[in-house]
Amino acid sequence: MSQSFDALREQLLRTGIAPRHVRRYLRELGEHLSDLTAKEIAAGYDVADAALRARAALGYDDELAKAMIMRREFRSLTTRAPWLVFGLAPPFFILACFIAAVFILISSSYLILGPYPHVSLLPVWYRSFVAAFFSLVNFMIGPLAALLFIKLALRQRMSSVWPLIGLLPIVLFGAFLTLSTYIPSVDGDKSGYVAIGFLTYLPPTRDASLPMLTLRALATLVPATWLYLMSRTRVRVDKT
Amino acid sequence: MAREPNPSFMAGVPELMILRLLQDREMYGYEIVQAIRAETGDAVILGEGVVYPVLHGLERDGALKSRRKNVGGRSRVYYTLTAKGARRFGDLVQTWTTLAGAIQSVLKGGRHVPVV
Repeated sequence: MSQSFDALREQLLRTGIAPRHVRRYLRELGEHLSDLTAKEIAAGYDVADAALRARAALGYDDELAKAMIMRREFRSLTTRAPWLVFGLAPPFFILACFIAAVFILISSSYLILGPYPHVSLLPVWYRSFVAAFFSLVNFMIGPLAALLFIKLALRQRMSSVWPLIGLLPIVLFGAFLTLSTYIPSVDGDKSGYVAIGFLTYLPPTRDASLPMLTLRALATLVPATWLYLMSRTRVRVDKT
Repeated sequence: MAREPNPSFMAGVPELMILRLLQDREMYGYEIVQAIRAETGDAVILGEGVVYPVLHGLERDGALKSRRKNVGGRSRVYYTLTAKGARRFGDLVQTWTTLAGAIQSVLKGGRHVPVV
C-alpha cells in the first residue's frame, strides 16, 4: 500500500513538510484507501478496478500534495530556518554535549566522594574512567554530530549546500575542541581543573595533539560524507 | 471514475462541515468524508484525502483531539471536537450565515446600491 504513495512522500518532503507530518498523512491516506478499495470491491468491481477507482476517489498526488503544502504550519524548522539548524545549532549542540560531559564528571565525583572531601582522594579506577570518558567524548561528539545533521538534511531532502554549511562548524567545534581534566594526586599540592581548548591551545593532552586532531577531523568528515553520498546515490537509483 | 472536485471558492467549507459533523460524535477520516457526501447529496466533492490536512490543522489549533482506536480489527484515528473547536464552529457558522445572506441578497438584486 505504501508504495502507491512513494512519489507523494518525496514531493511532500522536498517541499519542506516535516517528516512526522508526512508519515502521519500517508498512514491515514493508506487506511482511507483501504476503506475505499473495500467499498469498491463490495460494489462488485474486481480488485484491479477497485484499486484504480479507490485511488481516483482518494485524490491524485498533486491534489493531495497541494492540500498539505498550502499549510505552512506543517513545514519543518529545517526548511523554514535552515540557517538556524545547519548554521547556528551545531556549535550550540556540541557545546551542550561538552557541558553535559562536565556535568556527568562533577556529579559522578560527588557521588563517589561526597560533597566535602578533596578531589585528590578520588580512587585510581575513577581517574582512569574520567580519562577514558573524556577521550570518548572528544572523539565521538564530532562524528555523531556530523551524522545527526547529515541525517536531518537527508530526511528533508535538502540541497547539498546546507549539509556542507553544517559540517563546517561541526568540524571546527566537534573535532578541534578538546575537553580535558586534571585530578591532583594525594601528595600533590596543585588544584584540579576541567578545561576546554581549541586546536592545540590547551594544557598538553594526547587528544589535542596534531595527529589526534587530524584523526578526529577525518573521523568527523568521512562517515558523514559517506552516508550523504550513499543516500544521494540510492535516491538517484530509485528515481531511475 | 470520480467527479471533478469543487473549485477553490469552496475553501473553508470542509472545515465548517467537519466541525459540524464532529459535534455529534467522534469519527474517523473516511467516515467524515462519507458523511459529507451523504449530507450534501454529493454537492460537495473533495479529493477524499484532502480532508486530512484540514483535520491535522484543526487538531494543531486545538479545535480537535485525536486518538487511535481499534474497531473491528482495524486501527483508525478518531477525531473529537474540543471546547475550543465548538467555539470556532460557532464563529464560523455566524460568518457563513452572514455571508450566505449577503450573497443571496446580491443574487436577488434586493439591496444592491450603486456607487456613484
